[in-house]
Amino acid sequence: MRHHAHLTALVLTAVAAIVAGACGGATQPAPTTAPTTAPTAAATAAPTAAPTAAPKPGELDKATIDKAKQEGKLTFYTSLNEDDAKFVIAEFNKAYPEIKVTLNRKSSEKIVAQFITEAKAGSVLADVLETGGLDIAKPIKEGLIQEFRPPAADKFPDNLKDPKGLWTAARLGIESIAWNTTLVKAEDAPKSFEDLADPKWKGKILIESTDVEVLLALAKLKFKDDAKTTDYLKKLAANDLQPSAGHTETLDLLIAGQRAVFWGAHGHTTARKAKDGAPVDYMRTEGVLTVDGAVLPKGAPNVNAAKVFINWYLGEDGQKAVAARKRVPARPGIADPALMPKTTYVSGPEGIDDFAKYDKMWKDILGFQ
Amino acid sequence: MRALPRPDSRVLIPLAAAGLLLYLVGFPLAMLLLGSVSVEGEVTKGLTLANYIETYSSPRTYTLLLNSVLYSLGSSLLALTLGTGLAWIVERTNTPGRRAFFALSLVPLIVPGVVSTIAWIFLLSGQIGVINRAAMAVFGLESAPFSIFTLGGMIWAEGLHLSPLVFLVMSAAFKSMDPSLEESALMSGAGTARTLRTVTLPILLPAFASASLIMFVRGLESFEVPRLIGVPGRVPVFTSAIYSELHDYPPDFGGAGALAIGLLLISVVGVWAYQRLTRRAERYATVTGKAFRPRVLDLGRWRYAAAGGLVAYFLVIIGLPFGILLFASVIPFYIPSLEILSRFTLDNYRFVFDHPSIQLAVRNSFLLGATAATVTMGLTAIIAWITTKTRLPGRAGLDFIAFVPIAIPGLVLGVSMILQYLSPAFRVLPIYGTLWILVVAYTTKYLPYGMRTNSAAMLQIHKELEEAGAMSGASWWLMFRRITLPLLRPALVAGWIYIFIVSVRELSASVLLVTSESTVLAVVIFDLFESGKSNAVAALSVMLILTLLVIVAAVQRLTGRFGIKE
Repeated sequence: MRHHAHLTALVLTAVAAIVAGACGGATQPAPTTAPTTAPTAAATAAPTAAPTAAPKPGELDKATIDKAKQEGKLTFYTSLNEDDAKFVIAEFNKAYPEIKVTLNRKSSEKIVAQFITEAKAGSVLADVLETGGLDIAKPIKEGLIQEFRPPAADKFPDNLKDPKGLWTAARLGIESIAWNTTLVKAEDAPKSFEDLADPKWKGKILIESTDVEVLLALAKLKFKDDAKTTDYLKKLAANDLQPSAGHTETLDLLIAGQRAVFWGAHGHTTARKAKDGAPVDYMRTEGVLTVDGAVLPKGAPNVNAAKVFINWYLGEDGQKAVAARKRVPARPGIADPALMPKTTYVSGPEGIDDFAKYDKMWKDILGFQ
Repeated sequence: MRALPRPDSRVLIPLAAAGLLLYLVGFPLAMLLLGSVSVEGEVTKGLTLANYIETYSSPRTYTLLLNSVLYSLGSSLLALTLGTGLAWIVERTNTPGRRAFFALSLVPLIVPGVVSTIAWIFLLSGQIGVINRAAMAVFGLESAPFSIFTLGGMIWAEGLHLSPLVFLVMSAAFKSMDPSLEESALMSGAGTARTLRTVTLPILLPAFASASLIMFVRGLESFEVPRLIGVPGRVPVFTSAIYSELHDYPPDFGGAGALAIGLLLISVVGVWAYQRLTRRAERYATVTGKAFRPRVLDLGRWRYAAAGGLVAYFLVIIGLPFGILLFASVIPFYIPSLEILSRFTLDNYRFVFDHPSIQLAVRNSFLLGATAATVTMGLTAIIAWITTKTRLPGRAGLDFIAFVPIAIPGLVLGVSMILQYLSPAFRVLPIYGTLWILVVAYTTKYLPYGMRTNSAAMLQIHKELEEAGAMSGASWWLMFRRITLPLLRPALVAGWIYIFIVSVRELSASVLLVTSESTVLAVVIFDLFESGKSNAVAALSVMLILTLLVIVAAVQRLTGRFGIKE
């Protein structure tokens, strides 16, 4: 749902804007409390600010941690599913038993919609927001997020963190091609996204009707050329795609044998189903990696606790907790290599700027309304 | 005779009810309207009519309109035919086994929309549909006889899903109908069929018109079927288009608003037609002070045919999807082959029992459903009294306003409630983050259903009863409580059950308003579904259906079949 997710969120923001506008500024804009917290935070995080005991690499300074323990609580807004989120929180509490975490778990577009609407209504309730890249781009664009560079993410590659320090990748989503192993023999399975442009797949392809983010990543990082992308999409369209709504629903249809392959299937859910014995597998030769970012809202009520949580989450322990739930952590070297495609195209929050273009291409060529 | 009716309650209570109605509907409606005339849906960017011009000058809009109308008409016709026919058989004939049918008929209502729609796909898909495969095997067909991914398939899935609601509304109407008119017609030599046509059906007109109106609009605003069947079938309708407008970046909230207002206007025309149709209220007033007992028609040998109809409905509409659900609930993943039963497992049920948030959600949902249903039916009973029994200026307006929520997309309602209850400028009650905000949301969203059920039933009540009450010196409140509400009972119960059930299923507004502590069933089901636990959701649905059957059967025993006391 992540991809169609972000858009709904945006609408909601728009709605929020209407009301914020309609009430003529009677509401208190969220950022009022932010200017005080942001600079302090930057100062304390700087290595020079702790002359007595400099923090070890990857760790926050003692002053922030102490203040976090004083705050003693935080609210975590995430799209991680409930069981996984509770597991992560329990692991966090092993390291920081003093900090009580309140969970607000919703699908990506909904959690962002709620966050933005709350902020526009004048109440920032979230301390940490963690969700899909195109969704997280929205509050960043709205100026609702403050800069924070978690020391734990110092070694993250450039495409997994924002140069301005507004977001850091916490998890990755694998978007690939899945197939029904009863209907497709291993040797016939697709090895690349282009393979499905071959007419031999005509009438055999399922596709999630809002999966523009995959197209966007392929266009920018694989084809690197709009003419090639258009050509690819036209060949794909000629193969009589069956559109479907929702990744889970589409995967269920694939397993039941509605069609043989699913363009844009989620790797980790496919792997879970395969582990349960379902006749399904996915392509490991190449795949799009979507980024789930962790961000620190401006005006977060427990800003120090939020920093401690984010830093722990992106560090070894937090990321191992993510991997333990069969998900894909962003921190290099921790994800289960069996899940990862060989060649990957990483699609982060910046993709939002090109979204409209590829959304139009998608709808025009594939004929989805 | 002690005194004249006290004027205070007569004026104050209806006035308060009307005020509450305006309060509930006003804010979300204002947001929808403002958004539709704002640049990019944001009022801060200026006002414009471009959204409307763009939307309604595009040929695509008219394709959507045509699809939507065909889909709604088709599914409401199917639902009305099935629901009315069943209500008649159950309430007015001596068909054997009809009593047991009432509870069973509610089953399709409790199953989450996403689950029942997928069940129909698993039954009727050209590739994997169980019915298609069976038909091909039995009749030696080359290709699948049915295809779910068509307009017809959408109508089938939605119409069957709506039919229990028609059944509820129409059985309430059949129960409240004084049979003396029918008897007179029969005595004067009119045959059964003629009596049905010239007497019974005209008297039932308000209820039937109400049901038609709700069905039609319900079809227009339905979402699961257009999403899961319409998208693969490439049959776009209004709701899927609004959804898609909301999915663009930047999101076209203005365009979505303009479409939603179009939907609202179509609904308003419906309400207007209903008011015209039923404007001579006294025509339908068959509930008078005289005691009566709805007449039961002896169908003779035909009663076995009627029983056969009930059984067929039960097997096809309830049995087949339930069978798929039951099958899916005991296997780790669904494939259309009995071989998978070699992997029989109770893990899905175990998962449901062990999942703490499911128990919390079930408790919250049942509590919320009951509260919202009670508040909505109570409030709309008073509003319906104003619109049908008084000559108050502006009463028709109340009827329209109570109908507005039907066109407000759930997500828009959710957002407007966050703003209304969180921002200091509007906040009246500190209910954000509690269950109460959900009560307010559900009450708002289901006002139209309460209103239609109540006003249709109110038209059947003759004013002489209230006049008698007033003459004996009863205050308005006393009269309302002791005379009107008891006479409304069948409709109140029918509406209550329906609102209870749809509240438990409500997702789009709830999802923005729940917290981990105030989570509800529909949200938990959606989350489970999203994280790939569709077979656990099947197990949960089976358990919900069984729970519902037990509750309804118990309530039936306790209240003597919801009817007027016999």
